[in-house]
Amino acid sequence: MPKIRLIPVILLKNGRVVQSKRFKRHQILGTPSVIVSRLSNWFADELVFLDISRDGNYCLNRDDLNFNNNNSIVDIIEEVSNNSFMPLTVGGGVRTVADVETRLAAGADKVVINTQAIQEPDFINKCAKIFGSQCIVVSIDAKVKDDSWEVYKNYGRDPTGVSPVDFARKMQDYGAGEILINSIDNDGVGNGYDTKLVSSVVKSVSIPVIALGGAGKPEHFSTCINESRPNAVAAANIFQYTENSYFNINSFLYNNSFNVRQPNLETIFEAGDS
Amino acid sequence: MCSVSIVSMSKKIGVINYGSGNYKSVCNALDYLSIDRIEITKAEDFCKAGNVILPGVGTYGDCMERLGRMGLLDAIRHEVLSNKRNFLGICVGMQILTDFGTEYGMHNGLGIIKGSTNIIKESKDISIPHIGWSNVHITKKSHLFDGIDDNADFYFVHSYCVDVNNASLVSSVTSHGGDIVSSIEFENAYGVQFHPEKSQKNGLKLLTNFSHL
Repeated sequence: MPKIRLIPVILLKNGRVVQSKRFKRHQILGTPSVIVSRLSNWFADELVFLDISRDGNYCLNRDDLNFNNNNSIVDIIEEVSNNSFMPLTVGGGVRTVADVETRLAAGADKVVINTQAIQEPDFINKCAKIFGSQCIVVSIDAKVKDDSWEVYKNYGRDPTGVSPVDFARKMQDYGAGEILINSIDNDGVGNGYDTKLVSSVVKSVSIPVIALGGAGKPEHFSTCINESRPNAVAAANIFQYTENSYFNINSFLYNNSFNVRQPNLETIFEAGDS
Repeated sequence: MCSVSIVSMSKKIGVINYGSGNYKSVCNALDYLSIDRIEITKAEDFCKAGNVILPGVGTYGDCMERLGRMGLLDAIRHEVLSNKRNFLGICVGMQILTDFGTEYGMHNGLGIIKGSTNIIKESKDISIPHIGWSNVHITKKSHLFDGIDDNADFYFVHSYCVDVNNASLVSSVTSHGGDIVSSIEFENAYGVQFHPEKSQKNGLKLLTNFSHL
């Protein structure tokens, strides 16, 4: 039985790391290489990079000194994978088999597919056959509708009329290896996960489920694990602007007897010297 | 393919590049550890290498097909079985050491280790694929695990696992439903189901150990 993973999500928009609120407001946090070099020193269980650029326009008109000017998510993955030996998952704009191939070749271990999975479910099947189910993650952006939820596509803009439970099941049947369930309503709000949404998806599939959207303090992670039983809990904002947040949340869960990895403050550089 | 005398001369780790997703990750880890490496894309390249790593991400059949197209299948068998070259297969790279695999149809493997590769047995409360950090319980003394604690965690990502006929070839197991084989060792042939190149400190240590064999 693997440990419950604690996963920082890094959102990129037009070459910048951003913070997101309800899929609408995106505040720039900085240049990827600066943030990424900090992340590389973390003993995180896994990192997820989601490129939410909508126009493919990577214009970095301000460069921090002494850091590479990364132009695309592929460059960013290459840079991260050179220095950090942890699983990397990459999503955003994955529409073709070649898109998957490029990301894996750059050092990604898994790819996240969203809109294309809704538009062409067979694409998931095709990718699973070539690359194996284990590296195909389908992300589902869901929004409350009446007393249930509805799946949205195109970065949370377009409703699909499909329920997340039905869609998750379908994706499992098509060969997806993992589901990333994200609550549009709770995104960036910091009031906790939509545990009912996460539970509904966890109960409907046998593949691993990653919960995302809403974590604002350590207790939100433990509540989600207890109430929804996901295989992983992910968050973006909380890991970006709180000092040592990964270590602290990891320690909180570990000290409360959750099945997570032992927290580790060592840097990867020390690990390499041993 | 090489004569044995040349084998013993090189200290460079050969990394077989057949387009598998984690080729680069394995190279990154070796570079980080300052372990010299050389890319292997054809049979003659083995002559320039010492120990060899076969990375693997993808399906059993796809992996065999790619290696077949590159003319590497017989070369690998020869290097491992006749030249006794130290060999480490990672994930699918380990699985294809067996006789056959059943992922998306029946596929022949390298047949270096007697056994097969099949989907992880379903059981209550486990997810398949097995994705994440799991404890590796060492069942047999192996130099691969020198300096690594029993039950250390490594990163796994797979739906299929190895069943070997001879249980004494298993060097570690991991609990996921039942016990799954997390590493095997047959003379100079080693295989790990987890990804050392993605397992931070423990993984880097294992790769260092392999380079010292």
